[in-house]
Amino acid sequence: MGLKRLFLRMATIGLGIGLMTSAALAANLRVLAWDGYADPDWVKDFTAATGIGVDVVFIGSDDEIWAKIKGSEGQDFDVFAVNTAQLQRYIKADLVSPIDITKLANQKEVLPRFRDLSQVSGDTKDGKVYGIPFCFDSIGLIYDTDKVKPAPTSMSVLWDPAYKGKVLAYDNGEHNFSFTALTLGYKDPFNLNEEQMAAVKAKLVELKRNVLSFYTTADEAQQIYQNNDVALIWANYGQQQVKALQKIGAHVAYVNPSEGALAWLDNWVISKGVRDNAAAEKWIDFMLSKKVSGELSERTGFGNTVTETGSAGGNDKLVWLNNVEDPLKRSDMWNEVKATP
Amino acid sequence: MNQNTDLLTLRSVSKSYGTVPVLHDIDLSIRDGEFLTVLGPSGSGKTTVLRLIGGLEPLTSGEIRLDGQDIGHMPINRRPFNTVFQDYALFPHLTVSGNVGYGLSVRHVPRKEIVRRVAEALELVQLGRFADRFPAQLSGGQRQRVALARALICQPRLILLDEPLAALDLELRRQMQEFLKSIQREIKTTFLFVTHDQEEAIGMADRICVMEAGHIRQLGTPHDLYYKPNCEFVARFFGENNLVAGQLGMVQGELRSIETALGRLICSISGQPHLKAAPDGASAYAAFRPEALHLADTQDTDNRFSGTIADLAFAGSSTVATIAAGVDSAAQRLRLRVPSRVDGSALKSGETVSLSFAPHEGHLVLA
Amino acid sequence: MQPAERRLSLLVTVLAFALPVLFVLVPLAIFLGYSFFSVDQGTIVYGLSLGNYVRFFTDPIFLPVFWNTIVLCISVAIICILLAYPAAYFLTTLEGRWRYALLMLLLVPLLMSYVIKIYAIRSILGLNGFLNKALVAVGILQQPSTLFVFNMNAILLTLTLLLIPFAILPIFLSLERIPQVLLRASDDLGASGLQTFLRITLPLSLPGVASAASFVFVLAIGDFLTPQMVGGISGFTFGRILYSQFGTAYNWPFGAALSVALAVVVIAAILIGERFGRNRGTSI
Repeated sequence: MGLKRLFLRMATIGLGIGLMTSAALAANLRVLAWDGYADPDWVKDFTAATGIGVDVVFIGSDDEIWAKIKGSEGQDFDVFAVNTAQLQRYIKADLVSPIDITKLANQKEVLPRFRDLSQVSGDTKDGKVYGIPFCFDSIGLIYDTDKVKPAPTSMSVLWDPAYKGKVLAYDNGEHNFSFTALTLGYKDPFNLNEEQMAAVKAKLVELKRNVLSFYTTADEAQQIYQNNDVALIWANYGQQQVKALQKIGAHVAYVNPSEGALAWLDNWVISKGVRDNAAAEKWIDFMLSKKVSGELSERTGFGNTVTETGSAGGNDKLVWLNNVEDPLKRSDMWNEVKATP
Repeated sequence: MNQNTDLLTLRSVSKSYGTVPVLHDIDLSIRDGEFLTVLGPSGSGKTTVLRLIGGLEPLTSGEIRLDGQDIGHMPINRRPFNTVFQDYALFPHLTVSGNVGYGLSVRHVPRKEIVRRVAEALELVQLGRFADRFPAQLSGGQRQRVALARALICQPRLILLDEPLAALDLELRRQMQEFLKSIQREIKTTFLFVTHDQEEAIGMADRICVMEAGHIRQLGTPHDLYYKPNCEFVARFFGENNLVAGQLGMVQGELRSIETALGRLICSISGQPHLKAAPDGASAYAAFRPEALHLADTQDTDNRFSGTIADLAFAGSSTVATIAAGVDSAAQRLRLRVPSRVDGSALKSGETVSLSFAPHEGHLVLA
Repeated sequence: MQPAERRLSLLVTVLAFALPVLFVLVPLAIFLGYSFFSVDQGTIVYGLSLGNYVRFFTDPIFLPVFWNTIVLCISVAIICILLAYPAAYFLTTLEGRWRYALLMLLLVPLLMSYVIKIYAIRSILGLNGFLNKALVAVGILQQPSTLFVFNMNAILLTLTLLLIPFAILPIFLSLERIPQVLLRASDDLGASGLQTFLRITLPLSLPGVASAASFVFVLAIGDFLTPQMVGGISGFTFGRILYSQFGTAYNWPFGAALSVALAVVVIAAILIGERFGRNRGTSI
């Protein structure tokens, strides 16, 4: 009998310790974000202001976010950053929780075009808000001001035979189909019918013949620019890329094409497995403060939703990236484009 | 072919590796058609002699003359000699016939003739059935014969054999010795055979060249070397020998006396004028074979001394006794070999015996 | 043996078998398994079908790219061998200390990051790169040429540069293993230097050449970075398609099927290399 009691007592103590440690861990907010979205000084300020500790995990690709969130069915993180095009996929998979924007004081102070979230494509579903936009940039065109005259206004310059072999394009089927669709004047570049797809594909094969190489990282594009005769770069990394090129003394400028520039808009979202919803809301609200948003733009060159910045301003026609009709099909067709001799 | 004409002559041949000399001023004539064995312990320079003749090593100085022409610096592939290497050096990727025909094929001999001559050569070394095997599929003795066939098919003026039997076991080695000798007799080609095994040398050679420390110590027939060694090294190296140190005494015709710890011994100097010419009192050894020594009887007056039997070893047909002889008995150990059937059973360990050898069976060696 | 010792040796044996099984066979089996699944709306459907393989063989883009990639990698292997053989041969002619010092020097690039090497090579080959500058400086070219980057030449050149150490090493080892006495025996039998090389050295070094070729081929065919980074618009290889299935299309099952196709070729290359790499007889 005595032995049994001892065991029970030990089990109780063990359980108690276990609960206490998990409670201590639970106190920390678990954030999954791109580098640049949760700098250490902001995290420190946030903890100082709210008393909530933060654990940040940085990711490097959309696929990685999906793998991390989907892999744990949303249980491993409380808040994460994802762009509008991706968000719908998470909503559909029931990996995110709706957000009560009345809890976000700073959301009322954001730039007018981000106030009504039902107007921001991809952030809502069935009247519920799932994503709070905070950071964006356009995917515009970088051109060498010495080589490209007059200054281009449309992506169609990429097809100009005058720049044959001097064009750097980005190696991604989804975006390439979307921007080419815009260049061809299609209204919804994210939902193309068969006929439009075929036309875009043919156009991309043409583009390919004008291209020097397809790049994947900003560094890579910069290195190719330095060692070769490059006039035009389809700038997947937008402002970030321009800044870097200008830093090395390149004579380049950036333009958002008149037919509309693809743009990405990153949102804070709360995962399905959130442990402390209030803490997550506090984090989002903190990120929407004028100070943090301003600093984000200063540091990264991206636009933010709170203060007006130079790039992708109110006058530019931005087309927020959205879920495309069939990512697999676009990827396959892009392979076909690349495989065309 | 005439065994009295010289095929190849080495004149003042020296070889050094860097600053280390391995051959000192060697002079050697190889007679046409002979089986010459170069014998010596390892490090004596015997293999170097072979490698210099074959062209496997460059000469440091001296001449190698063939047909009156110095070939000391002729490239290896133009010398009319072929080598049987110690570990055979068969080409592992070629069949037996590929190996044997190699020397003909690099000389662009017509295919048909190669086939015919390879068949002949394999027949000669009794390997006809193995033509299509690869070296790895052969036994050591078979590889050995392939190596020989490969060397002799080019009809070289001289075949160089570098300890070719070293890797074989005793029985096979004996067979191969006879085989090599018979082949040599059959094709009448000059063989230069390098070995460290004196039994092998005695069994096969027409002449033996004994080398030590980069010098030739003696060159002669096996009989000469056995019975008339001209120096302590040859006397000791060549079979069992009893050597007793002493000082030379008077000459009496073909005999000369030597004063030793065993008393005055009389030995033959027949055919060795340098022993006759040596001054009285010169240091020398009396050399006599264990089988020349015998238990003395009353008729034996010369070369008589006593000793104690320290040890007895039965060796089949003969019995070998180790004898402690002389005044300071520990100083002089001699070996006595007697037929087991006659005298062997009479000997007892610890017994003191009287011993003797006939003067014509004793020899002198200058120290 | 003590029980403890026996347990230890049992553990070692189990590990020796478990490690390759765990890290080679199991992943391969998982890939094979995945290749029979399919993808619907971004999620993997775990139903068995041959669809991925049917697609691989019927879709007009995969087989031609697959074939072109194989041809490319065979070319790389051939070029590597042609360059590596003389280099390795030269190494074996050197005296002991120099031989290994130089060999080490040739292998140093293996210690560097693969991506950085590609970057470096690309800047060398570029229009404003070192190669063009040098060729213009010595007067071979009038003006910088685009011949060396973002085309097939660039892929061949870059892969060759990256992989040549993998060719030099096995060839060097096989040349070094040839007993010198065989070469002397050949000389002794009257062969000229060239005859000795062609009839003895070359055939005996073929095992090294075969493993070098299969190394280079296997490494080249698995490489998706180099064609992407220096091949420009012609740099579309099978590795790229494969990568896109995992990296961008999120079609793991089809990617797995393509991997299986690649694995078949790689295993075949290794087997062929091994087959030719074996000596007919053991060396004596």
